[in-house]
Amino acid sequence: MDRDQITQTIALLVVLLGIARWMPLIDVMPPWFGAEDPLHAVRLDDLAASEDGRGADGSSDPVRAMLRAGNPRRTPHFTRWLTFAHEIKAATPDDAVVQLKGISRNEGWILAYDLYPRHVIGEAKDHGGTTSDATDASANVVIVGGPAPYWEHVR
Amino acid sequence: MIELAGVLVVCAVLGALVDRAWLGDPARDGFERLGRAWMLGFGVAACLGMALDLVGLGVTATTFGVAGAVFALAVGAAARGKSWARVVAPDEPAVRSTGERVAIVVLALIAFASLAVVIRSGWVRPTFQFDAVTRWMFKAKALAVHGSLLGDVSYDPLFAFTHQRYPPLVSHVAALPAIFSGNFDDRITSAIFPWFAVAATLVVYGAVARRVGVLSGVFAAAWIATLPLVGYLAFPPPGAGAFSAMADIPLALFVTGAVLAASDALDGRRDRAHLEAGLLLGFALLTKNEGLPLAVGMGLGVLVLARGARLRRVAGIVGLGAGVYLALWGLVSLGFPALDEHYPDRLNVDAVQEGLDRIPLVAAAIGHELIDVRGWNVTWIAVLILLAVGWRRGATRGLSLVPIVVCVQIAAYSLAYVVTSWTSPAAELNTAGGDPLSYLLTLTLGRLMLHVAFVSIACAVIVAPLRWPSPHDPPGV
Repeated sequence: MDRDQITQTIALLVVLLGIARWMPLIDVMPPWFGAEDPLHAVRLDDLAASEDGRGADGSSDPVRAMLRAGNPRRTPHFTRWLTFAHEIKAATPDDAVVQLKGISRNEGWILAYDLYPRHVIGEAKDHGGTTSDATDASANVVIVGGPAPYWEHVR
Repeated sequence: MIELAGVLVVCAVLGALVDRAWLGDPARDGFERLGRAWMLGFGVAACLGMALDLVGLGVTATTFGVAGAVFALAVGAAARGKSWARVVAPDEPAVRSTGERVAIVVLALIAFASLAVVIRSGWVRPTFQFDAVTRWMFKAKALAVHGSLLGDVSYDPLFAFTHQRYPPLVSHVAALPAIFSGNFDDRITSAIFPWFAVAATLVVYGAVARRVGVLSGVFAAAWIATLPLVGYLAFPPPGAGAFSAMADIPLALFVTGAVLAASDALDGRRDRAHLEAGLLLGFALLTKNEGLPLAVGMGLGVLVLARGARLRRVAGIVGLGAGVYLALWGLVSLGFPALDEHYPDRLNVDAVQEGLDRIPLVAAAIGHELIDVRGWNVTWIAVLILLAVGWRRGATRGLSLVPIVVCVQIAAYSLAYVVTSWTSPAAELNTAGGDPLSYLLTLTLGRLMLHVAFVSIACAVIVAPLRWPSPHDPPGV
């Protein structure tokens, strides 16, 4: 086998694997969790059609929560945070302060993104924070985690 | 959609003007010209935004529009009258066989179709990847809301999780549609990210086609466009899909452009290649901290490989890159809070000694990554075979820069893994109290290797180009 034949063989292998493993997927997200994969509960076509879902009205939330959660068990959890974020944004000014109680660090950071420019404070559950932490004097709203999460105005 | 299309057009115009006026526009054809225009335009647009932020004007539709127009007029005046010198590979056939033409069209269709699916996925899906949401998209949202990154989001420790000192090039580019429309929507904001992959594919196509012909160029393009780590998230945990709003593919684009330009400069293939290499190195430094090893690798490589004026060339390329970075972000970011895992503080003998027992784990992970078909198909194996087969006949002094840069980049990442103090609640869950390094490697190694994948593929295809069998070939060959 000379250099050209090796090159041609490698090229054929690279291209065939590229096609075989990639093109038939059509949707770029493989079904990680089998036939019942929640990531595929909302089809790309449906998502693309919901143009008015862009922005704050929440109609892209189901797929957003599924993708963020990454598994079916945690998806309702992320859906709840998205719902809270929409409600709090509608009920507070941009400079409001939101305190999290008993919520994990990573979920708190994602809430901070969703609620920005509102400032999000509070000790994360991973760092010893609990649902019964004292309310900070600067907080306008608190979000309380635990088995039955809720949010409320405190000021 | 109109705002995204508008930003893509603005970036392409800015980049094309810079290419024509300052860099000699070496593109082989319109495809490469468009790729280069986006590559340069994304960097220039972000630099304009950072400059506006630094001088206190902030990034708004008005300030960016005026600054962009003034810049375009100034550079456009310099570009006037300059012609495009079409560069064709020396052994490019004057007439192609039907088979070769069909192969070129098929490979091009594969590349286009792959990229089209990624673009569509980026367009319809919201941002979800954790690092993307908490770093790049967070800063893009801050820019869209306040027009500046020099406020609370960078100075208040409350936002330390956004990695305040991280360079923000991609956030500046991604924020532009929201800045022009006045409405932040993270689906539109993140939809610009796949276009970095499009630019990278076109840039590699052109760079390969200019040296060894169109057939090899489209083959390299199809290879990159169908890479699992570019096209889709191969397996949990997420990789670096081009639509995932991570900065790894943008960095890979600038690494590829900078190294290929420096390679042209070392081979004396064209004028202004040193300038291009320095500018793109600056963009890489402004994209991710992982651009820093690139400055070391390029400096070292040029020092070793240049035929003359070595120090002047190194100073020119690395000095320009570092100057762009320091002027627009590096110096001001020194005033922001540092991360707990601040790597410069960990680069000392004690930390290295402490982490020596991690070396086997890191080496094994890199070895596993090289043969991991889930993320790479057979990319790294194929690259190594092509380099082995073609290096002696096809390598040039300039192409020798590629292995030097790749080795420095991987060595730097390995050192970071050895000294890192990183941990997270997820790591503690997944490693049951063990060393969080194995979890960090699972999360990050694939996308770090992506930084050097495009330029490695380009180099491999250049040294062992694809040649269509000719009826004049002797039998048995």
